[in-house]
Amino acid sequence: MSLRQEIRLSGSGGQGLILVGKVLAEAAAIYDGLNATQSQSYGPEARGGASRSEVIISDGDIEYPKAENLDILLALTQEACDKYHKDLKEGGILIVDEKMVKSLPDENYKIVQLPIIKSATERLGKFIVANIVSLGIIVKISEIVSEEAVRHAIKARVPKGTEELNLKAFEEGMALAKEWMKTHSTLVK
Amino acid sequence: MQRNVDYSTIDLMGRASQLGNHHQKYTLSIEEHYDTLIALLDEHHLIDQIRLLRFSGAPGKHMRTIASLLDDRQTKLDMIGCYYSLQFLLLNFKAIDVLKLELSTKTTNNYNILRDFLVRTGNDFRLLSRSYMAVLLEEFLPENAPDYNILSVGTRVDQEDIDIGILDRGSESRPILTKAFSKLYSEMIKHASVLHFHISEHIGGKGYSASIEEFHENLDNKIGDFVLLNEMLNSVSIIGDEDLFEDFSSDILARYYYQKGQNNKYHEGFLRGVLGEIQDLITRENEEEVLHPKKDGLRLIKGTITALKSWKGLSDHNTTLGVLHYLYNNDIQNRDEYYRLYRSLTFLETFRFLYQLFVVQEEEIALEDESIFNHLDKVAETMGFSATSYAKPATQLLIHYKDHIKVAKYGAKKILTNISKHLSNITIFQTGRNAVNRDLVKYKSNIAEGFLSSMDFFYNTRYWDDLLSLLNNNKQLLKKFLDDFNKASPSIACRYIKWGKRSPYLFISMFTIIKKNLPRYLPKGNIYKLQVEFINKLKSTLEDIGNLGQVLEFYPKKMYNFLFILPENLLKKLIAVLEIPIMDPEVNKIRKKLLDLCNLTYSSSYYFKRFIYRVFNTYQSYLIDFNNPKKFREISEGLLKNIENFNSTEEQIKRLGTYYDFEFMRLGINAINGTFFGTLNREFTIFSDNYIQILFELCRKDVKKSYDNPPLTKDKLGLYVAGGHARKQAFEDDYDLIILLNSTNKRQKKFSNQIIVKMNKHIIRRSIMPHYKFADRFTSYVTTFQDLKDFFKNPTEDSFVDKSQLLGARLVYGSDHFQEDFLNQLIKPFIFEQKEEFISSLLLEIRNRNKFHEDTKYLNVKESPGGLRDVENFLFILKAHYEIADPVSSKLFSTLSYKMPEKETVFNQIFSNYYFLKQVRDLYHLMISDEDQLQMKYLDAIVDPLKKSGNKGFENKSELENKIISSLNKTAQHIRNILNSKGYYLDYDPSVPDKIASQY
Repeated sequence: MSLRQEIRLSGSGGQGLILVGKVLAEAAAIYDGLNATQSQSYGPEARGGASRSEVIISDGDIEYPKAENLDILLALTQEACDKYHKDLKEGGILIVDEKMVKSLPDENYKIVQLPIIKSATERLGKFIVANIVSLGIIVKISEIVSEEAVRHAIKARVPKGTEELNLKAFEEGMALAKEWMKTHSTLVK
Repeated sequence: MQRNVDYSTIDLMGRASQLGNHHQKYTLSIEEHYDTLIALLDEHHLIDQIRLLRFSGAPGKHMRTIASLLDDRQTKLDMIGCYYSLQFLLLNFKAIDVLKLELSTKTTNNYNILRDFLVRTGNDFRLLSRSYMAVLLEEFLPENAPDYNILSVGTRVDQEDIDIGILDRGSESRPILTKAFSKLYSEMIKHASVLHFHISEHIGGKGYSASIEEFHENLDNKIGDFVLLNEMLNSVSIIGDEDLFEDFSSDILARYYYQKGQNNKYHEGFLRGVLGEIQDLITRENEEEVLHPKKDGLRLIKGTITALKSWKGLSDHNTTLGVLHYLYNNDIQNRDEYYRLYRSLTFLETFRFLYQLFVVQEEEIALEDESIFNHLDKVAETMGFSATSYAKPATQLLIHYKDHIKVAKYGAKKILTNISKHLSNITIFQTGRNAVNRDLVKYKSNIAEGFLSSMDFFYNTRYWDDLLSLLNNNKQLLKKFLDDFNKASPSIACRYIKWGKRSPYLFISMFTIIKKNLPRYLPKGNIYKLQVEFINKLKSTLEDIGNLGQVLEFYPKKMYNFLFILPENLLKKLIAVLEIPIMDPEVNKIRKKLLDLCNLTYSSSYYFKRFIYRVFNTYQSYLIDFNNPKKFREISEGLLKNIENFNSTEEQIKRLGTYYDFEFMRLGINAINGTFFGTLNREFTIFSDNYIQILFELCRKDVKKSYDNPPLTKDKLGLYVAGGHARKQAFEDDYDLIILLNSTNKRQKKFSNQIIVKMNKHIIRRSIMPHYKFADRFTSYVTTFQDLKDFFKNPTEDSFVDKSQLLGARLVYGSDHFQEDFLNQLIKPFIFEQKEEFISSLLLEIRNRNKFHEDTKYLNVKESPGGLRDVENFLFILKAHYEIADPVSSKLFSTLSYKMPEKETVFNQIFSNYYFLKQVRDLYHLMISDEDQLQMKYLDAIVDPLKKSGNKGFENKSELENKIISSLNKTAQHIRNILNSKGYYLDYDPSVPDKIASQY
């Protein structure tokens, strides 16, 4: 039985979650030699302002491209959290922005509540890199792909001239997660 | 790292480095495998046959040749992937080079050049990617693989991802396909564009493919996801069994095309879905700092074209440009619209393609980051824009971009109207079993239930304007619908809300239609429950608030009318939902605006609400800026200045009315928002005087036309305002007018009367009641000096009231000479020279009124002791006493303080209390009710605005009540003291000599 990890990145339009999905999938497929699929919501539900991107990573064939039993859910808005948390498997990881998501589900999830947007805006000075901060958190907490693969994938996906800022954002996300894991290490592997 | 590559490859890699970073995937593959590939071809003497550094017209043939040279699968895949990467880069370089050449030589117009670029590049990319997929599938699929067909469902030129659907026959051997497509996906993500399987995500079981039976299962009973249908209708078979695609076309796709005389419910459902989105996109406010070519224009254009494709049965045309070309040549009536869409489509699609090629494969382009402009310059230069002394290429591109969005929306809007008409002709509600408009008497079952069961098929579609229009235009049908709605089970409200949950526009329209046609249905039964459910289901989410905001932005009148009819408890709930911020800055902006509008509606009295309603219903575009005082001020000034730009007097008067309405509303909103009352009074007086003066001039001009030799009225005619207007007080709802003529010439009087009759007609249209102070007594709007002189020579008991009106009047139209005559012939002889009689009448009036109001438990801000009328009569007494003709104002208080220096402090206190009570009254009128008798339980509403405009000494309604009572009492006491000091006594006591009171 091969490893299959399902990740959903959700929030609102303008948060760059599609890009995070692409980076994660390419890091796995191109640089870590795994199999990966990445898709984004195109249907009517995606046209009301919500944004969703899914990545499935596996060391075997991916026989079904749709994520239904999530291992990780990133929710950058309350709406996304409310809408999608039910797709998380029991014990799955729910990563939320502490300012945007106040009401957390009372379920058996590992909840990682961090100042994602605050870090992007206050420490890095750019709201638009909140997506890459989130990516750093996902990578550190899940160890699903190698950090080096993600760095390569970031450089190969972001616009020229923004590589350094995005890599900084990635490191910032990893640092946030590392700090969080010090006090919550028993919850996540 | 580059190894052993020839000069041309270096050149290729150098050019690739000029493209977006995502091309590293291709250069990485080339760097890793190019040497091996060259060696392989050299070894087999194929180096001249497969020229790697030139774009190939037969990539599939070359890939198969390469594959045939190798046994090891991984090496084979790497070599084919490397070949693909080379060809992919060459394809794009060729595309750019040819585009630049054509734009510089310009053999045709720019849009045709862009079209050729898109078609050529799209075809090249389709050829390359299809070949790559076909060769990979030959590798991954065994010989006994089941039938399949790959449908290409996306835009041909789009390199960000390749949208495909896969058909199979649903056999047990589907896992063979699933395995092969899984491998195909993994290989594509490494060396090519990512595949996207939207259809597979929605149709069929777990896997990448779906059978025709599974399409039936998913789509037969519900219209489903219109995005999916949109993809299906634009699908083309690119690889695999053609028969399978033929079966799919005839079995599934055909039913979404219009078929004359047949049941068109699938076609109708698709249109309801896609038109809902088109309407949303037309009404969507584009973000200022973000470009999104898809959301801004491309989706709109493509959706419109696919809708037309399904209506006109153009199944053979499978690109948007192809359908547009056909329509342009065959639907001559709408040719202009098609050409508009064509220009915008070619521009936006090219821009999106080049941006993604040169910068990043993202749909959103944030302009707030300055560095983006360097990238945009590059895109703009490739599209033919060159730097000029006044604008960089990117600036020019952005201007064109915005223009094309507008043009696309304009074109789509006109076409939407045509499609909507088509929809209303073919809808099952008109022609089917549940036709609602056919024969209402014969429709025996519950029509509201009938609607719902028929609409179930259309779940999640959003375009219902045609049916709303049917209900709006047929009162009998609307009544039947509402009666049946109320007769149905209470759960019907929840079922309707659930059905249309994504479309507040639908319900808001529905409620406003009921309000307009049958308002009595709103506050009761299931219709009331529908409103409750509608509000209860709203959440502070981006989607809900975004949808509501869209209604406000584009249908402001509908939104305001809805808020106007919403019961107070529901309005409060809506306010609570809107108070929570939304992260998206654009939606948050509109949320705040909507919240302000709700608060304004909630804070307004019915009297003022009615006023706003009238203004917004006549000029809905003003509603958008209602919370921007600066903008509102500018609009108002523009309205006034614009009056003279119209030629006809009628039009000028109409525009003048607009100016009045607008100013009244603007100042009312400012008052509620706590603007300083001194400012409000000043501005109110300016606009109301402007109104009367201009209206008089315009009416006189009009009346003069009916005279060959119109009489002259210079220095003979004067217009006075009395009451609050004379005192320069804001928010006087009535106009007390005195029209005086210093002449007995009948022709002059008739002429003047005709002007006033005309004026009167227009003032009434503003919902203001003009009162002509002497009209009843002298049976004419115009009163002559002689009429008044005769009357005052033989006074009645209440002639002091008429004298007060004259003494308090303020001239708004007339000469100084006329005012002098007015003072000398009327004020001096009949008031100042008969002051004792006048004053004693006023004292009696105060005394009697105070006695009446002392007995009542209600506070009346105007009539109670110490109230506004007391102050005004008190001032009349002193004006007569000192023979001062000035109207009531702060200046009059100063004059009186000068006359009675020992009472200066008391005068200041009276003025301050008077001013405070006046503010209480005005705000009470605007926010609670148009009455002077205050109901204390409602005072809460005016606490904040009173405080904002600088009043102190209260924090809540009971403290405010105390302050009002204290102001009234103190004022009454001060008035009494001052009058006593002048020998005028309000308390009648026979033992005290009272030179005035004793006369009565």
